[in-house]
Amino acid sequence: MAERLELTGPVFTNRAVSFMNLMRLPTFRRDFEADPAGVAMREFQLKLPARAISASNKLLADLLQDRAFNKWAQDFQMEIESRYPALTTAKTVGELAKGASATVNDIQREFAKGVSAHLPPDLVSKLKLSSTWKGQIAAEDDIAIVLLVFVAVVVVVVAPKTRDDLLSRNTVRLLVNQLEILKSGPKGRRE
Amino acid sequence: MNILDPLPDPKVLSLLLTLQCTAECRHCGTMSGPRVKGRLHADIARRLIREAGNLSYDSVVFTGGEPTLYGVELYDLIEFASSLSLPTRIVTNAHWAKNRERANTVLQRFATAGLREINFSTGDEHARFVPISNIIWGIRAALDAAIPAAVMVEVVSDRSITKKGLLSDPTFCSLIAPEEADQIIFSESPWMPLDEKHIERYPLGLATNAENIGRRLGCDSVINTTTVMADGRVMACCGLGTRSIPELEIGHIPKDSLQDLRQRAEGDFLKRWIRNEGPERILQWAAEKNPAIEWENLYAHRCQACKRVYTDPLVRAEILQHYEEKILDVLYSEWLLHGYQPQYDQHRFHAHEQLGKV
Repeated sequence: MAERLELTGPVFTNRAVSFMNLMRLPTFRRDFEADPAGVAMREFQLKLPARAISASNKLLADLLQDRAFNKWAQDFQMEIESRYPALTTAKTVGELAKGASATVNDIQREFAKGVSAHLPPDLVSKLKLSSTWKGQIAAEDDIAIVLLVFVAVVVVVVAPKTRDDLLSRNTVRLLVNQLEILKSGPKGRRE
Repeated sequence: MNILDPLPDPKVLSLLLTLQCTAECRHCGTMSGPRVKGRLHADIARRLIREAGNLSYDSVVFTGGEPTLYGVELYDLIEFASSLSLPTRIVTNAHWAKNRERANTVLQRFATAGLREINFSTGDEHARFVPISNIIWGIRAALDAAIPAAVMVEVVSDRSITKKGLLSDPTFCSLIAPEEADQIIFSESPWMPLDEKHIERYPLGLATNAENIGRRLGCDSVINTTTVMADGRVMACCGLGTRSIPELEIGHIPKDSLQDLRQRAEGDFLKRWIRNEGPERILQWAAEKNPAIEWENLYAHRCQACKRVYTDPLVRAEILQHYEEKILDVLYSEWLLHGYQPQYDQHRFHAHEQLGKV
């Protein structure tokens, strides 16, 4: 019988606690985001590959730290709350489901458009040049169209159960994950 | 909560009060059935609920097996959780909803006890033992009792019971108005063989591959759900498949406290990796290291992919050899999702705008 596959121990726990505490310090955060492999070695004695942080995490960080995107998200939230008051006044899961069923598609599509309008320029350039989409993506609007196809699928799979499921950092992450596949092509596909 | 606010860390206590069930579905995730005995002592369940209340858990789920076979103490436990302001949910196959009168009697008792949500499990497997009409009577009674209802329908490639079919069932249409049907949450979920080598047939595009993996987020069950089995064993996720993955067993009641158990689960990097990225991405990552690992178009249910992570020697070897390179990436992701607080808010936006500083 195989040994239990558990990656436990005080070393990991200490690293995890220490990392979360250090990330509260702006200087550490900037250093880590600029040179994750170097910080990993200095602070945590971890030898990491050059690409220590995934492209998805980097893009998620860029978006969450982008003032313009945050402002757009806040304005968007106020707009949908005034446009679809049933979503914010729903007292039960049933009421929310009723309110959301008619609107969730439109809301998530608009959100995808907002994300694509705030992507870093270098990512947009890479998407335009990617082998998957070369010749098909000419502008940010084209990225939104590609994402919309994806979002339409997500809406079917992930029905919101609470208001926070409808749109959240997880929605941004879903879109970021998809963008990474669009940029680099599917990883793992065998020819 | 605002759209870009840090995500909360959900905490759910799931009590498998009994593993006895009126149904005997193939590939049952908890290996329940009519001949499986054992029940969680009500005093222990009560102690756990009290502790969950003290630790600000988000909800208590009563499941099994078939939790209604637990008897009248089920209502007492729901009432006790409600008295501590803990929302409660029950997962049932509706075997008790044989007609309108019986369904109403049970649902009224649940409503009086304070039940906040009822989930009905159905599909081709469940329907071999519980007629679909029971589900419809159950939904009708839940609507009458103003208890939010959700219906989970099993998905395999060739099936006779679907959400669409249920919504167009003549009995359903005669009992439930379209605007009432809108209030029911339907979830069609892949039916999972417990054996990771048994590859089920699913509708096209449902099994994970390199093209659709972008739709997979982390597992929202591992660590976040603490499941206590009828025999006192404690699992670090919702229970599906946990009986066949020893690593997901993290302790035993009454020896361990909920707080200890949660900390124990958080102390395992692999569980945090699964919570953050999901088992499918770990398989993809392992396959990049070792191309002999095949993972695409095999698993639609992530619990089956999880079992593969834990049992395939090739996958285990890559994890053990290379996991350290993922540690900071996973912790960074946790921080981005749950910890990062933007240093500006709406009021500041407007103040800065007025000063022309944005």
